[in-house]
Amino acid sequence: MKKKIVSLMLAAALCAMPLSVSASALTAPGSTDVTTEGTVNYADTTVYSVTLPTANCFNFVVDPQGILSATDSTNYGPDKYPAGTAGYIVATEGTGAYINNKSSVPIKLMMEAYVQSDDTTGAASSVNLLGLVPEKEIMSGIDNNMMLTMDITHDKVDLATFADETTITTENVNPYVAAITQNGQPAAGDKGTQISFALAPAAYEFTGTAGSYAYTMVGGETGDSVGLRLSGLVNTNADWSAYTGASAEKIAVKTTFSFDKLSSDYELAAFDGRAHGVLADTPAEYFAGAEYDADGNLTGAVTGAMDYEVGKGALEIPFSFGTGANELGIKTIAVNGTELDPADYKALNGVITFKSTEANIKAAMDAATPDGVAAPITIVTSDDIETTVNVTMYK
Amino acid sequence: MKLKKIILGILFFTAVSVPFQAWASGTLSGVGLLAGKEEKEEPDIYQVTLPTDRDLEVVLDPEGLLSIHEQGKYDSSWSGQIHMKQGKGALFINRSSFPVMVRVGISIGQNRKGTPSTIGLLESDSNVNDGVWPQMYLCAIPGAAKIESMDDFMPSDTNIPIEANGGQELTEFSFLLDRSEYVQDEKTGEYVLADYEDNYDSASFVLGGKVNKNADWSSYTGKNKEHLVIRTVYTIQKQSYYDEQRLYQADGEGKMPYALIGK
Repeated sequence: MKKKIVSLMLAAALCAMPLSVSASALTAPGSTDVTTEGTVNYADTTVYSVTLPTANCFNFVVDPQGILSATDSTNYGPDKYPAGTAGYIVATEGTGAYINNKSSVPIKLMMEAYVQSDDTTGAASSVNLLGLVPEKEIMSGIDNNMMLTMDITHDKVDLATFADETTITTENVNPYVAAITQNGQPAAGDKGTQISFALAPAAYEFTGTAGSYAYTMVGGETGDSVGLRLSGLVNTNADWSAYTGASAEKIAVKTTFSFDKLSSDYELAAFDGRAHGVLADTPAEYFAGAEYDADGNLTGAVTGAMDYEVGKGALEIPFSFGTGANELGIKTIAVNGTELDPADYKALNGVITFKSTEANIKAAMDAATPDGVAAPITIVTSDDIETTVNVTMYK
Repeated sequence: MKLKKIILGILFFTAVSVPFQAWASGTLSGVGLLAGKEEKEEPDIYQVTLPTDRDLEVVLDPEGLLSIHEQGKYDSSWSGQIHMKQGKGALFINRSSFPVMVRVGISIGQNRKGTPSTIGLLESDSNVNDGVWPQMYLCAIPGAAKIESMDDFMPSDTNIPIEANGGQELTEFSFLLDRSEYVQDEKTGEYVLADYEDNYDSASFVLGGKVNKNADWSSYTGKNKEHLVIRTVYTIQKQSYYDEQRLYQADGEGKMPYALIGK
């Protein structure tokens, strides 16, 4: 009988002392620590496939005297040029810049252009480069007035057949959509004339086998396309002899095309209707609105405040970045003075959203109380304007 | 039968220190009756089968890519799920001569050092698809029956959300497993497991749940990926007796979790 009690007490002692053993089989009551690796199946759904224009895609003839219509009635007849080609800047029918987006995401295409007289130095041309002005203004006086513009394909072009630049014809373009007003290579840090477009994505699907999944374009997709060509008007009353002949001063246009993923979903307000995909250039409103000084200049700092209740989803700050050529990017974001890794926030659809597991965000949320604790978040946009949002965290 | 043994032990112990009179009426005859029974020697044999480190391999499938593999064609309704790899799961089998409590502790992390995972853990699946950040509702699902291999696993209706991420945190739950019967070999005098099919007790669980199908999970795949590790700590404790009262009591219908200890 006594033996039994003793064994009970011993058993109790064993209970209280977990033994440290390896992950292999235990031979007595104790504890074991096991780690297992989990796998995440994921195929990146951001696939880029953008056809950009080839070099020398643009051509144009400046025809102040109307020589083209006088000598070539097939291509420059009265059906296209009722009063002849005098004063016109003419591009050959079926030529121009062709851009096609077969990416899985909508893209923002940016074109930057300027006029120059010398390809090596980027020196300005001696022509008088005007913006989008009425014809009367171009034809007045005897200066070498030039309005150099972009014709851009309109929305009704059949994208299924618009496979290359041959579709860029007078019937398919909106004329004089934007004027190139930058004369000479811009100074460092400045930009030439900019136009931006939003092009829709192509349809994609998940394919592949276990271990090698992919996101590939659905067969037969044509993608979204846009075409551009040069056009414009010149003063028929000016003397253009300096720009012809052996020692002519050149009139050249330098264009640069680049693209990025569209930072916000399609917002119809961002299309201004000038031509297919062209984005309006609205200025940024930041968080609480832009602030200006007495001279009408943007001040370097903007502040605002908002409340956030911990546990109600990710922290989101509404923010207006502007659209088109005026769209701003983010340089840095700091929480309670510490800069965040760019992977820990995203700007989309007019909102900056923050990853809740990021150390500084998590610390600010953990410090929240029912009375609210302030966590200032400072956003520096690409124009070097600082916006500080004083977020009060409640729990 | 088992309860009676305990009473015997306690009574014997306290009888030493307490005057006989205090135990008048009911207990007197109890002592007398029990004293007549023969005491059997109890063997002290430990035999518990535990899961290994490959048994809880999970696959997070935010896009539903597994449907291509399982059904030959992509099906987007498969998106946002957490699956166990085929046939996997945690199984504990007790063949000891005494009951055991199996305490399970689970947490997630990036590595074995306890660095927290950057995947957010949710306590329910209702908002799992909100926002664009990687987050999940990961839960342990205990089995509904006593099984001898994971091939026979049947899930109960109970979901235990895993909310521990990194450090020394653990989400814990426990199973109570009954003892097995041992018989004494007549010739050698050694104790051996009584040879009938049902002579064991077991508990099991799998992992499951949901992941945010609207998030970008690319940082958890490919080279330089952030790893997802599931840490499990199994602690086995010998129990003096098997108390059914400790087991999970459900309030309604549904498949009850087998051997799970209630709160």
